Amino acid sequence: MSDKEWRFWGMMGKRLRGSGLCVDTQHVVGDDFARVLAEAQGGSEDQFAILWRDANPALLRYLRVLAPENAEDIAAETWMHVIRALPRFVGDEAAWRAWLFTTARRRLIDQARLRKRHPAEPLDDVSAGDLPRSPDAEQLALDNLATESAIALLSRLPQPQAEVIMLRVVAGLDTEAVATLLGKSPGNVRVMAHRGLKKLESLLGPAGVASRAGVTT
Amino acid sequence: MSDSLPPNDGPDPYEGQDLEGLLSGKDDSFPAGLRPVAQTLDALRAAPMRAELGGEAAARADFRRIMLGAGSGTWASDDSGDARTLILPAEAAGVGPRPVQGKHRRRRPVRRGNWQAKALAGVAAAAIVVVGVSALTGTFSGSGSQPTQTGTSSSSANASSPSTASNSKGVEGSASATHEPSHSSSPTASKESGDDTDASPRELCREYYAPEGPVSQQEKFARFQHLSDLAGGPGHVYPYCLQFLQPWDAGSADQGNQGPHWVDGPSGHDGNGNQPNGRGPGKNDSGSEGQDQQ
Repeated sequence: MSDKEWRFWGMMGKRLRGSGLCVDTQHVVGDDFARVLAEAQGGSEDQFAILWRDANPALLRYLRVLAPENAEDIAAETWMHVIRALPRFVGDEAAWRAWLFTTARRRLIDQARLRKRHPAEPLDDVSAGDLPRSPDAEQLALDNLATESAIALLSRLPQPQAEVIMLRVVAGLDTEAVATLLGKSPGNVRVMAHRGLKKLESLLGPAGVASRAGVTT
Repeated sequence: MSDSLPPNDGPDPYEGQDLEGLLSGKDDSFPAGLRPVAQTLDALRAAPMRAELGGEAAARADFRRIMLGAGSGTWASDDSGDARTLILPAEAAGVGPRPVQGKHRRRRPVRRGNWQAKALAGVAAAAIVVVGVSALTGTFSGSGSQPTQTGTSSSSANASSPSTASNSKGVEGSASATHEPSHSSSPTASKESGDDTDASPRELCREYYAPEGPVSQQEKFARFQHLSDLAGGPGHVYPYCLQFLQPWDAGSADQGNQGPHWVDGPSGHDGNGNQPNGRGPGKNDSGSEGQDQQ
């Protein structure tokens, strides 16, 4: 990442924090981010784990929507690149998340190119009923039903629309950041988000998505 | 397409603010028709699942491998000064240039057999030279020393013979009035210093080993050459002449000579078994003559 990009992501982080658009407060480190980042950059494994636990679920969900087959591999590769460049990172938490998802998207594109040149032969088809099930599989399924259902539903959207929605909702980036990340104009990002939401509404229909509490809307 | 334009599939049912609130999750003031969509988006923001945190150990391992071992490929010391790396000097792996691995030069085996053969030949040649030199040196020294001894013994015998008047038979005849040493008269005695080629071996030996007068080196060498021819070699001269040079032989008494004298052959030994050692029985301090004893 060039110095220009570093400056951009730092500026974006300030803008996001100042405008209050960084809404995914559930997974952010918060005010302690600067100290955590500094110690992680100094080699503290525990502080890096804090950053990883905060960002990896969102990263995986983003990748599972766009590349369900190899989301784990791309996520691991993304973290490898992030760790290598971590000592040089400058910015706040919003910039950190923007940088993380930018790196993930680049790895995603590289993976897509690689798969296009070297298409993988699928193994024998195994039905869902033949898969081994752990004793608590049903409970886990119930717990994660809403999230899994939501991811599955987003995967049915056109990829640009799904990507915009995931970056806005899961990564917590605003329109400007998403536009910069995707290389599009902010208006274009808004239109894609609008169409994606409408598509999602049509897919949901009257049944809706099972919430984690098991309430169906 | 402009942001203000509605989607192609119909009029926009949402206002911009509602859309932004729906995506951000902060604003709950969205139309009731969008509630399923809002719940779906809330599900995407839900707390992490267990599977999503399962890769922490691997991430930590990658972090340790990359961050703590960055750059040098070895464990570097962190800020706390915990040096985990045993930094070996670069020269430890090999200071000098390593030999070329690709080409193996075969060393030609040392021909030890050839060297040993040369050494043996040199030693043999040296031994031959030494033997030859020693042989020549021994011959000359023997030919030079033995006559000297003989001469000395003869001279001593000559010195002692006048007073001894030995009891032995060998000197019986020498107990004459004349104390001068004299050689036994021989037919060729007159020719002793002249023609050596005509002289008998006895005379030649006598002339060589016991010359009566001063002899030049050339003449002495000529005599030796003659004797060498007769004896069969330089080394055989002395043994050859030894059979002729028997001083104080008993036969000398017949010649009326006193003291040591030369006799012909071993037969000239006296009956007492005296050896021609240069001293002989003549060395008798008693002063009595043999004739007196008899």
